[in-house]
Amino acid sequence: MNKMKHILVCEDNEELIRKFSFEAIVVKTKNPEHVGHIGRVVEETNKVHCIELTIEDNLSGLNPLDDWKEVPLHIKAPRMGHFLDFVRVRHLLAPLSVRVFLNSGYEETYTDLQLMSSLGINCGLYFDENPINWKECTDLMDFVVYPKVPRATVEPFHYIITEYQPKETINFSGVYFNNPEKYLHIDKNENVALTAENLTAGKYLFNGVEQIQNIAENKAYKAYFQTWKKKFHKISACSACPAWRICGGFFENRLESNPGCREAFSELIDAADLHYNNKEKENEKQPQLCQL
Amino acid sequence: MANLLITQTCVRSCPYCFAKKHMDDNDREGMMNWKDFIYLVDFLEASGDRHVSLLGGEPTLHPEFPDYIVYLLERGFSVNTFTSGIMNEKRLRRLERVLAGANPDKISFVVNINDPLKSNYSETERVKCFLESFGHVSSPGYNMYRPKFEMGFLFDYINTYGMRKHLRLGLTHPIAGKKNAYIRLPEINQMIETLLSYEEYFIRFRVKAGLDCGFPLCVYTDEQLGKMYKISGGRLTFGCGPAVDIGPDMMVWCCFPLSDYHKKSIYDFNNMQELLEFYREKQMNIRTEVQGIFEECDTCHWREENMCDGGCLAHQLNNFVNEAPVRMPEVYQV
Ligand code: SF4
Ligand code: SF4
Ligand code: SF4
Repeated sequence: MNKMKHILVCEDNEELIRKFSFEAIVVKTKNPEHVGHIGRVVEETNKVHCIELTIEDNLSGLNPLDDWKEVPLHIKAPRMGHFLDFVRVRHLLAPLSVRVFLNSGYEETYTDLQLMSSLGINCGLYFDENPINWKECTDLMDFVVYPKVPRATVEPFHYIITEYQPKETINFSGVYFNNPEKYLHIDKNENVALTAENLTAGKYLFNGVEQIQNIAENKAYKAYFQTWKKKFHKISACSACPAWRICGGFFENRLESNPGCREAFSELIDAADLHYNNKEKENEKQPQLCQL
Repeated sequence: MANLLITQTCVRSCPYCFAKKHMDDNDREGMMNWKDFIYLVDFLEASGDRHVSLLGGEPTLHPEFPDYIVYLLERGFSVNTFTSGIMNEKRLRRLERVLAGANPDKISFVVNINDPLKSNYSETERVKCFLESFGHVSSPGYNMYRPKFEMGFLFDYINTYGMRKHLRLGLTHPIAGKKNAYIRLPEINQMIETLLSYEEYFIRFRVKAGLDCGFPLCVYTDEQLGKMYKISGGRLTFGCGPAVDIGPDMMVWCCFPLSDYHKKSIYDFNNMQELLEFYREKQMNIRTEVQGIFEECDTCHWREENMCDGGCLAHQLNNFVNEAPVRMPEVYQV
């Protein structure tokens, strides 16, 4: 048993999945037809935390299937596609437990997420090697942070705003099932890694799913939690960044090629702070009644 | 209900055009983008308003016009579009396809129709094509800009295309600082006579007249008022805005004739109530300087009793455009 209660992230591989007995697992698939089936396979011995479906086409071309209703779902699509086609998909997605992520590298993504959120679809940005448009990103943050009417969530900003604590750090990689405090990644050969990137790069913690129960004693695992402290040993853009607490250097590797994260996330941390203080004030105002 | 101007260009150049000054003074290519549109829809919804009017220029020229309508419907809004009905075949067919399944109780068009005998042939034919497709969700609009005019064609259109039996009648007003055709004050009586010469048509075809803003009460005789009462279905008002127009640049103004007075950014307001309050106050201030279009307005008991607002302010403000600023600042363009 995994005492640390990690959630295991694996590929769409039935043989592998049948080997575990976890309280929660995330399965990544690229096959829309497989979503419902893989959900049922997981439930035989595990519990589904989420199925992550990556599609190559635009969201508006997707044909959600009936059996998707049974599973919590993340859909990663490059773009939303044409609005009128999206409206058709929207009606099919509405009854599902789904969050849709669009690629941050496309100019229109930032507006499309506003559209989707305003029409009740929980959604978010995902980041890959494509450059981020920080100006558009800041507009999207404003949209999320200062809503005029209730809307669906937009990640990772919604997560940051709601989880923010003035004296704590946040790791929003969890939105992408990539926070080692909560998720571990495993391949078909049972190699276990801290992150999806480490798994791809062959940087494994160990081999064998049964070892996960002793992960707290694993040296590489323990070392990971010290690494962020090392970032402050020398002056760097991230160590001097006011937004560090909510970002944790997520965009560190694109600081030179695609600068702008500091300004955008500094605005976001200010907004998160304001949001937190407002919430605190609201709580203060509530009169304490006796228990009935 | 706010008017969202999604374009600033038009396919016609009507002699009375109330949007002309605004279009001339602004970038004709300017169009409302999605982000601003979403902001405005949120703004209206937050104000408890689920009705919106789309205007231009010609709003159907916006490449996303059908998408905007669908978006509004998806958000639970009802949408009214002020259009000339002139669009090319491709656009018309696309609009038809997109709105095929839309709830007819949630969409409407006010088609501003000019006298076909005074319009060019191809324009008139395009309007007819539009009405063939959308007549059942359209009502005609007609702007009276001459004291004598022909209106029979409007009833023909209503009957031929199964249009809604409501005729929106606009009294044309001057645009301060611009030359446009409009009904001069001494011409109003003649205009009313012309209008009421169609009383029988209204009654026979059961069409109701909806009077736009700026009609003065005292220009009617009691007999005319009685007729107006009947053809308007008992809905007679003699008010003056604010109408509230919001442009593609997110600037707001009270109404087109006053588009250069007290222009503000939409971001200066938290909701429609604040915005309306602002323009009501401005109008009240202006009315302390000019009570109405006639000298009699100063002491008029109909005005005191809020039965008439004193006609369209644009008539009086137009007189102040070129004078030295000796009056209260509210009456001058800024
Ligand atoms: S916002 Fe940029 S500079 Fe600041 S911590 Fe994150 S990656 Fe580093
Ligand atoms: S000034 Fe009053 S009557 Fe004239 S157009 Fe504006 S709102 Fe209508
Ligand atoms: S307020 Fe002026 S326009 Fe209105 S009824 Fe009185 S005199 Fe006539």
